[in-house]
Order: sequence, then C-alpha cells, then structure tokens
Amino acid sequence: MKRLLILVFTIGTLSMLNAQEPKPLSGKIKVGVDGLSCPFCAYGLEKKLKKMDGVAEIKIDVENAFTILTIKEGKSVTEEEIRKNVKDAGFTARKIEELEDEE
Amino acid sequence: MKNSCRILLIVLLLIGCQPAEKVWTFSHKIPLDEGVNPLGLALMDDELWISDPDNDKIHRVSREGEALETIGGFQRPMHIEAVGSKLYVPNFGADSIHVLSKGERKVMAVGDSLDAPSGISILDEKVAIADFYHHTVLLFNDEEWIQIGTEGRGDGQLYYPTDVKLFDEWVVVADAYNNRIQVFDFTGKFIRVIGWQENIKVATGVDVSEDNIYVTDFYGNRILVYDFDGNLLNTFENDFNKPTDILVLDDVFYVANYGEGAIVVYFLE
Repeated sequence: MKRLLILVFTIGTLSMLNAQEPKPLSGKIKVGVDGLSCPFCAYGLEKKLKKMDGVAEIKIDVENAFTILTIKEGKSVTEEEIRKNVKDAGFTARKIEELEDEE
Repeated sequence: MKNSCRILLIVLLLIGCQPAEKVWTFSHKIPLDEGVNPLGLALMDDELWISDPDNDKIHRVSREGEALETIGGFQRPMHIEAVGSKLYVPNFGADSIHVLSKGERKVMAVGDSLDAPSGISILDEKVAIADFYHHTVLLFNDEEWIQIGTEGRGDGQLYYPTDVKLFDEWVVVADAYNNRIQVFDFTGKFIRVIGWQENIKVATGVDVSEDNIYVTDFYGNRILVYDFDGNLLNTFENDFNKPTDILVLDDVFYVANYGEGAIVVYFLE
C-alpha cells in the first residue's frame, strides 16, 4: 500500500511538472544560431523571427552566430516559439538566454 | 623558291594581322559609402543601381562611381533588375516586388504568394522570381504563372534559390545552397546542372551573356564562367570578398563585393 502511494505521488508530481506553462521570456533574449552565413540567411532569420508576436527589434550578429531579440514592454515569448521560428528559417537554435538589462 | 617565300611572307602577315584574343582584366574598384554593403546590381540609363539590404535602400551611382541618389523605403532589397525605365526590386522582408519608374513606386502583382523573394528577371512579357523560402522559381511564361522546382537536392530541385536570369529560351537559377546553377526551359523542364564539380560555396548570383554563364561564389570569393553546356571556361579570384551579384555588359562586368562595400570592375581588353 505504501509503495502504491509513493508511485501515485510520484506520477502526480511529474504530471504537474509537465503541465507547467512554458517559461515566458522577456526583455532582451540572446539566441545562438549555427550556420548563419550570407545576408540571405541573416535576413531570412530576421523575417521569421519578426513574425513572433511581441518582438520589437532583432539584431543579428553573423560573425558570432547569435541574434538578440528585444521583446516589447509587457509582452513575452517562449523558448519553444523561438526554436520553431528559427527552424522555419532553416537553422537550429542553440542556447537561449535572457540578458541582463545593461547588456 | 621565290613562290615559297611569297607564300611564307603572306602567311606570316596574316598571322601577324590577327587581333589578339580579348581577355577579362581587373580594372579598379568603386568604393561605396561606409556601411553600404552592395548585394544586387542593375544598369539603367547608363547608371548603376545597387541594392543595399543592410540599410533597406537602393543607391544610384554613375559608372565612374559618383554617388547620385539614394532611395529608401524597402525591406531588405535583394537582386534587382532594370528594364527600360523600370527598376524591379524584390523586397525579401516584405514578400513583395516594388517597381520604380520615373519617380513613382508600385507593387507588382504576382500570381502566387511569395516567401522572401530574392531575385527577379524580366524578358519581354516573361517574369521569373526566385522564391527563397518556397525553394522555387515562379515563372510567368507569357500565358500563366508556373512553379519551377521543388525543395530538394536532386536534378530539377532547388534549395534556397537566390537569383534568376531569363535568357533566350532558358531560365538560369542560382541554386544557392545546392551550390550550383540549374537551367530550365520556359515550360519548367529541367535541362542541366552547372557548377557541381567546382565546389562552389554558396552560388548567390548569376548573369548571362550571349555565350556564357557567370556565377558569384560567395564564400569561395570568386567568379566562375561557364559555357551553356556547363564547361568551366574561366575563374577569377583575388579581387572578390563575399561577392553576391554580377552584371555583365559587352566589354565590362561589375561585381557586388558585399563583404567589402565596393563594386569590382573588370574590362574586356
């Protein structure tokens, strides 16, 4: 009986964790993107990321293979959304992180 | 003996009188204003028009390099085309084609939705548009809009096409990320692949002359010249830095050096 209770508790906890909303990201977000090379790639990525609701500005650093998204005040995006749009642009998103204000 | 000498003299004279074969020779570079990285080139009214996607602008420059005019209001303008007094500008970021003519700007009606148009070519009533994210070329062949190519790596398939040229009976496509050129006819039938043996590192731009096909190799920093059968005739290196487009005229060609912010000029002499 005790084992059964532990099992139920564990399953319940895992289900709750899975059901959690994706973490909202706001402010400035740095996205590592491999394979950025020519202007067609860079502006293709820009075009796809612009479609995301809440994105105010996009800066792409081709040399260092990352992009910085600035999110509108009061808005947020999720990591999943970012990864999907990067994929639609023909790339794979690597590390995604919120930047401190001063950056 | 006397006759033999005469014949020999005539032969020598004929050989000596033959003009030397002309060759493409580097002439000079036209530096552009700081921050201007040229991508597309066109010639209209004997002046160069240059697309500048980094700044969402088009620049008009004399053939000697004097800056004459800058026009804004585009969204990542790419490979442009001039026909008569009209300049056709693919707006990569806005999925539209702008047509500039005598101070007016219109949006061109296209038979299908575009996703990042990157190049356009006009021949009489025919129109071809390289549709980057759809991996196709959209062709108006005098009667209807047809789609050339599907996404892929095989013959007749395209992978991120960036430029297109209509010439004679052919649709010549810069199949950028398949690292090659492909030729189709006006029905969309695949004809041949060009450049697959040369290890091109992103075939970003293409132009066509009477006899040859010219290709810009973006990361290879070179220009490749082929005949229509796909035989490599010439390679130009040393003067190029991330070239994106080439404009070939009778006795001169211009190359947009995107990585350097300059136009490279070669003369046939």
